[in-house]
Amino acid sequence: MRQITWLLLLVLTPISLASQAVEVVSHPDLGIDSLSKHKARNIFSMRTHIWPNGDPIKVFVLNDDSDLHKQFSKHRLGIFPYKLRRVWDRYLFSGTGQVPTTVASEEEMIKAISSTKGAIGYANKGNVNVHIIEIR
Amino acid sequence: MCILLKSAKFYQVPPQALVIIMAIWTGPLFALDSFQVHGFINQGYFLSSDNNMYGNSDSKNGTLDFTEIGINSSIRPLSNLRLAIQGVYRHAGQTNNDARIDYALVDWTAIEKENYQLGFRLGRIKNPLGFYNDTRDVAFTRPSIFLPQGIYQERSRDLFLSSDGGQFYLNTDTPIGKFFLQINAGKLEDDPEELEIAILNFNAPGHLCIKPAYMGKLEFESNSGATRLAFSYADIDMDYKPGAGDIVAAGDLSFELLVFSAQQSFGQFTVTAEYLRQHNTFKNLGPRYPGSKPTSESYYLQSDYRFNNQLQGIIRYDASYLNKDDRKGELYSTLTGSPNYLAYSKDYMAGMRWTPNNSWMVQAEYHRIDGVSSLSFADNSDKMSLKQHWNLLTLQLSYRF
Repeated sequence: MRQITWLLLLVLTPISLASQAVEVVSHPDLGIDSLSKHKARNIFSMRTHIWPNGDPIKVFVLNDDSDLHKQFSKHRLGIFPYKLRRVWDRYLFSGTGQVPTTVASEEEMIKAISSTKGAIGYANKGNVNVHIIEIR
Repeated sequence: MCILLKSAKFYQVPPQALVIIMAIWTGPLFALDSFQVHGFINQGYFLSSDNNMYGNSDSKNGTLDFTEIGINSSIRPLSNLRLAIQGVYRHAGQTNNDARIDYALVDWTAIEKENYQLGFRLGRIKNPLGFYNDTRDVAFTRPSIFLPQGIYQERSRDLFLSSDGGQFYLNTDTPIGKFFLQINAGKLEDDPEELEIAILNFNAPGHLCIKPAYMGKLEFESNSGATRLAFSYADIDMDYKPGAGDIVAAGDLSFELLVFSAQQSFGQFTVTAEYLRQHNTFKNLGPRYPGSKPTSESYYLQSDYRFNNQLQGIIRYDASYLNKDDRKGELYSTLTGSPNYLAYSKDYMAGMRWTPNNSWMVQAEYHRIDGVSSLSFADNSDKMSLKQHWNLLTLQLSYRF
């Protein structure tokens, strides 16, 4: 039994490490080092619009079908991408809110976040020019 | 107040005008980074064994007379100020074939704190009623090809779409979940022809003038998003202004709607139910229409299951009674001389939804229906030829950007 457990751990570890590789990132000047999962959800659901310093929040995401978006949704926010999309759709089509800006690639995401004040999004670990926010 | 001509619908604009309005709106705003444009196109196909829905669905080959096209745009020039506009073109058989400004508003968040937001929206605002009314023309927000017709009736659709006026809103974030309160006050769309026929039993020469109305919704959502509960309320009063040689007198009508909504997800399985109780009052409409106060009732129970990211199945039972004390329509039949099954409808539905990616959606549904109270009069001008038991197959293709 113990061997099986070790074997399972060995097999599963690389997968779980890979899924942990996506990080929430922001514009370098934002000055926020960590957010609770609850607050991160409110931000990415477009329910919170303003940072504590008064700047408008600008949310960037990749397409719903991209692997990075799925990993981010699942592991950083703890919700399915389709549930996020449902919330955004309700705001968009009822005129009660805006939706995140969708960018085509991770490179574009990094470029947009590093050049937009108040920007937040996500990226694979190890990207420079953006600031990593820890999700607690 | 209400001086419009029978044919002139204040809310409708030609599609060309809509494009020009959208272009003027968007032109100078492209420069701002909060500028967004999104839209959708939706095409339906309806084939029925009897009776017409969204066009001549009773014909041999069915009908493609159901199209919805929308485009919206929004901008946030200040952190607490947002402008948004949406234009929608809708072709639904003989019921609708027009473009309209669906919403056009200024949204001012007066207070944004960590745990609550309070603000006002001014302009043309969508009416919150149940889970779906404020996005009812957008296929991607509907659980099925068409919404349960008991609560989201085609006959009163135009009336409930939007208010020209204001909305107060309060969103709070509490340890148990989120609460959203919206209260609308404003002018509703005038001259709802379908409603007039439903009430008076024919298209009378006069018209219904709607007084400024109030409606509101309080919604709760648990922190996980798995539980949603809502209560909606609307109070609408109108006068009937008789036309030349009218047999209907200048009377008063009022409608009070209460909608209770609940949704619960269990993993990939979601159950949704809504219940409508509608108190109607009709007075002083002349000798042919004795004053009455019937209560209408509608409800549905729906469950959907996500097989995977692309495939979803749905089943639903939807029931609707024009008068809850006359569920079989016997009294209705005696009073109007029309068949009793015009007074109710019971719809069993099963369907599938395929979403190959974020932009496209294909749906198919089959309905077995007893009763015709949900059908539009525009598509079914001869009430006496309506059939009690009918089946409906419907397909839909939708694209969004």
